Amino acid sequence: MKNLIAVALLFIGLSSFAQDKYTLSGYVKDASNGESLIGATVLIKELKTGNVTNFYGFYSITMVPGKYTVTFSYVGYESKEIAVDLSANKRLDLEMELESEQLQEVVITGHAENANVSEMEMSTNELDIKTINKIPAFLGEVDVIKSLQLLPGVTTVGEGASGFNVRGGSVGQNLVLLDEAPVYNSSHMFGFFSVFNPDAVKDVKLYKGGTPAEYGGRLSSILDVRMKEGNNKRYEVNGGVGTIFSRMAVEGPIVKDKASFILAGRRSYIDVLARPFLKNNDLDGVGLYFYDLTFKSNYNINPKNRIYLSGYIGRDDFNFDERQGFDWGNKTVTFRWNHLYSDKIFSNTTLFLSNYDYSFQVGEDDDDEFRWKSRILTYDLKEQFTYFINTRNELSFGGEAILYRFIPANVYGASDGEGRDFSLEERKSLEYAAYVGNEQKVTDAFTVEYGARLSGFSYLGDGTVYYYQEGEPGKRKPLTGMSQAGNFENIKTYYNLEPRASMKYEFDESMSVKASYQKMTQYIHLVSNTAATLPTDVWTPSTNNLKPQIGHQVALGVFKNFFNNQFETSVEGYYKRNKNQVDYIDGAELYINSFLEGDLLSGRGRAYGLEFFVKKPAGRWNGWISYTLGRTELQVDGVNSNKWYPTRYDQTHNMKLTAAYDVSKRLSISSNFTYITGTPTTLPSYRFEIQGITIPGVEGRNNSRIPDYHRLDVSANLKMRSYKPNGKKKKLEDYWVFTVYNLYARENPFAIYFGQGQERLDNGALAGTSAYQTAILGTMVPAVSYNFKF
Amino acid sequence: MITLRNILVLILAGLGILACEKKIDVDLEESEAMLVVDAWLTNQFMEQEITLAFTRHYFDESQAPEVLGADVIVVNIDQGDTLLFEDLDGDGSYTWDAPGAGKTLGSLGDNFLLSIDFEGVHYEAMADLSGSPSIDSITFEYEPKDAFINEDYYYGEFWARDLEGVGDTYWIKSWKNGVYLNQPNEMNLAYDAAFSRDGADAFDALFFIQPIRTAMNPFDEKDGEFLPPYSKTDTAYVEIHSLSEEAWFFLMRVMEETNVSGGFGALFATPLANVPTNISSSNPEVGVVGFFNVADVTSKEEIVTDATIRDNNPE
Repeated sequence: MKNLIAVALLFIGLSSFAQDKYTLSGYVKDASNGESLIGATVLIKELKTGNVTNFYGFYSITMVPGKYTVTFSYVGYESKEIAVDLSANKRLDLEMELESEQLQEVVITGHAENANVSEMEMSTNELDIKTINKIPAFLGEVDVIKSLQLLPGVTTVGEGASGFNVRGGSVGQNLVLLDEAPVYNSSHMFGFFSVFNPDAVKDVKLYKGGTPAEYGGRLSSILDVRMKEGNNKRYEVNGGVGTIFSRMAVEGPIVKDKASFILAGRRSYIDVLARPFLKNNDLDGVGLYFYDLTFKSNYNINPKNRIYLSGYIGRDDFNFDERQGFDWGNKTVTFRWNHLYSDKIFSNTTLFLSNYDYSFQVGEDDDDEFRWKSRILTYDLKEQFTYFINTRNELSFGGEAILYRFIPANVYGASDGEGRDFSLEERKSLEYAAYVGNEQKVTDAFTVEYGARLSGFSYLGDGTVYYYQEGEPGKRKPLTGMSQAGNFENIKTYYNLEPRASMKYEFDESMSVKASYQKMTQYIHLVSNTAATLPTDVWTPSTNNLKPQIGHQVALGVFKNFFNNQFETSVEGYYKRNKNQVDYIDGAELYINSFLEGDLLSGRGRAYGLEFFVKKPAGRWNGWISYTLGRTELQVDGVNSNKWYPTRYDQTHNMKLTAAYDVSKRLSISSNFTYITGTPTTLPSYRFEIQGITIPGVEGRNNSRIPDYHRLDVSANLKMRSYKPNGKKKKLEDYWVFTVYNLYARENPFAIYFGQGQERLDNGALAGTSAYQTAILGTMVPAVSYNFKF
Repeated sequence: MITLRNILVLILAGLGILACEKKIDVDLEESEAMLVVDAWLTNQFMEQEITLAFTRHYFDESQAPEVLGADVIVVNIDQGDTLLFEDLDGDGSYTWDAPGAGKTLGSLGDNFLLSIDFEGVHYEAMADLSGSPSIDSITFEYEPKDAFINEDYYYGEFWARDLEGVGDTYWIKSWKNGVYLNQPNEMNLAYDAAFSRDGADAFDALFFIQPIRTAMNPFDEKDGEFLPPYSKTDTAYVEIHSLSEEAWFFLMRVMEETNVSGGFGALFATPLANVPTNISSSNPEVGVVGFFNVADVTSKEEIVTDATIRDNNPE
């Protein structure tokens, strides 16, 4: 680690130490509510250089003394020009006002108007909550994850499937962070709604490639969801009554301009509505509901110190009756401390705890029952530093340590009064990383970012350690031995050095070329062999048998804006290679299986694609078109005759069009259209009968495709009058959202399956064999919601 | 866990109003026909049958092409007894007449070799004969009509205790009024007293757990209404067939591949894949499918009468 820093410092060069320099630094905030602005541009006109505010709204620029004109800009806000006479270090905190002439809210998050061209990042997409709010949503419920699926390179296996796939990666290869704490299951109601309450979300950023060295731990993407800090000027209540959820968020100052909070909750109410209909019959014990509660508070102790505390609790509950049911949910608590060691050194310390658990119980009485609980606990300490060395170098470094506790199954079963416990052992592991990265402006046009992350993972006792030998490919591995490990005894350690590099060359203000390389390592694995991931899917650590997944990605992109940044366009190509991807033997037992590792296969993955993106960020007409041409394949010994085969989420063409039009100050309409090549499926080719049962036979895996998917959604957003009849402005701002999902009611197939149906055959009769197509949402789904703010 | 998956499907069935399903036409590839060996023998004192056929196109609903002229023998290795299976009717059904021979295949613990010679290729498989527990009783629980079933009904339950020792596997077959419950979702398998090898030592020698005991109930629909699984005077018949562990895994896989459901169940589907076989072929180029198992069979028959009804609703 020390060597890394030394090398990095060497790169930065010594020229910058030649002359006395001073630092201009501070925080940029929204004047209306005190929320820090992420990614606002701070430009020094005379030097044609500047800085972008970080996740906490902080910037720092170090220059020779002199008189400068500093421009602060952020799309949707009035740009501000401030003359600065820099003769000493200067703190300049700024509050920016929303642009007044806007018809509606800003559509696409902006930063600087040409940020897509001028910023270092590539392969990232950012959505702010105002954009997400505008996208027509299923049942009118604004959804962070569904919105992401409208961006290039992001896909899903279909409706109702939880999570998302990035550039050909699996759902379990995404790290979903809510205020830096991992969320292991990002869905309510299987995959129909995501767990993030839009009232509490401020900013959503997805890294598909070119990932900075500070992030790691998953192969495909990092989804960084940042919560609002809460209005520190005045109290505000947001809420809504939707088809599925009712929502309410309260935010306000604790100490004006110094401390604020936000508390937001949602609860579904199908069960409440259904209760009268279920009374007086056997279904009155049936409960089906989900809720989430999000909290965040921050305190500006002094100009150098600020602390944040945020938390999330979400739960889905399905009860058949008092004794039987199924529930799952995440809980996270994050404590953060921003500290300025100097005007140039910003630090953030994060401490979090994340818990994901589910439980399942059946059995009508104590004599015959089955109870199962599973849990994964994560404790993390993260330290991040940014050293704003000079206008040409921004150094980041830090480290992280994560302790995982996997409790896969606490199980109790009873048969006719005889009870037995057959819980699986807890598994512990420690993941740790240190990183350093530098963003260096080599010339005004050419910027590079380079760095490395050294990650390690220790699989720890106590518990039984299993040893397997490689058996016949694709078959259950034979167990060769077992041993016992002591508490926290190191069973197996892995280290990986993950280099990261990006470069940008700016031809002019409207055009740039960017390239990146990354190596990522993933030490914990989501074990799932179903079409969609389930809340019960188990996360499992790398062990002496299961190696960490390793992925390499290169990406190249061209970014060009037209008509004074009115149109932004980009084309990006990527190529990925992975190893040690997890696959499964046929008939793998993934639940409550101490010999799970024997049922797992390891394979190679490759994915490549081209992503096209055109967007019109502002104006009465706004929106974007995203198109991805892609391929993602796996090669696993023992599957598909050892040949490469497309994954379940391989989609050749994936096109999304999102458009919004502001009809008047009160009415806006929007729509999105999706067209996706049908996903791969496995078709049978022959049949035979064993003991009267008709069995399908197959040749190959994912040897065909289901029909293509397309869908059109529309929505209208109608603001109620904001003035009273006497001309005074009302305190209440309210609006209605009308949505129609799947307007032309296409029965989009989720899957094709084959079978004889569920009919009882006469003795000796042969079963008929047919193909069936299943649509999860095969109909038009209209919805309405009422939303308010005061 | 089969039960968990089924329950997830059940939960989502509530949303089924939005899902839809239709029969479609799909072009499937032709593939070369392979030998199918359907060799599930029992230790019962009755004719034993091994059926040989060829695989055929998936959508071919006609009778499977029969395999004629094969030499089929079963050897009881422990007793040194070779039993010839003959295709007397020329229809691919090779039989051995136990009553005619005055004996059954063998005794508990015996090992058997199946040997087939056909068109210059030799096929063979091994199986051992393990025991099945006897069925203590079959009882019926009274249930008043409910949201699903429009009249009072009886819910059958068979009582048997898994044999001592970890790793006993069984196929439980049920008949109602002489009709064999052969729907794909009616297959009932047990690993010791429960479902899977993990936790098997915990469930060794217990009564079969609840969902296994009551899987003998048919849930038939008529005009969109569920019929009572059992009514008074109905007859229930249950057989327990012992399996080799390999055969149990084979049937688990058969269940996964055949008990498929549409709607929201599609979310939890695993990719279609081939079921295993324990038949090996002397020529690796020549494929073979099917399975060989020799079962010990226990059984019990009971009629729904006041003597067998347990009243669960005293009020």
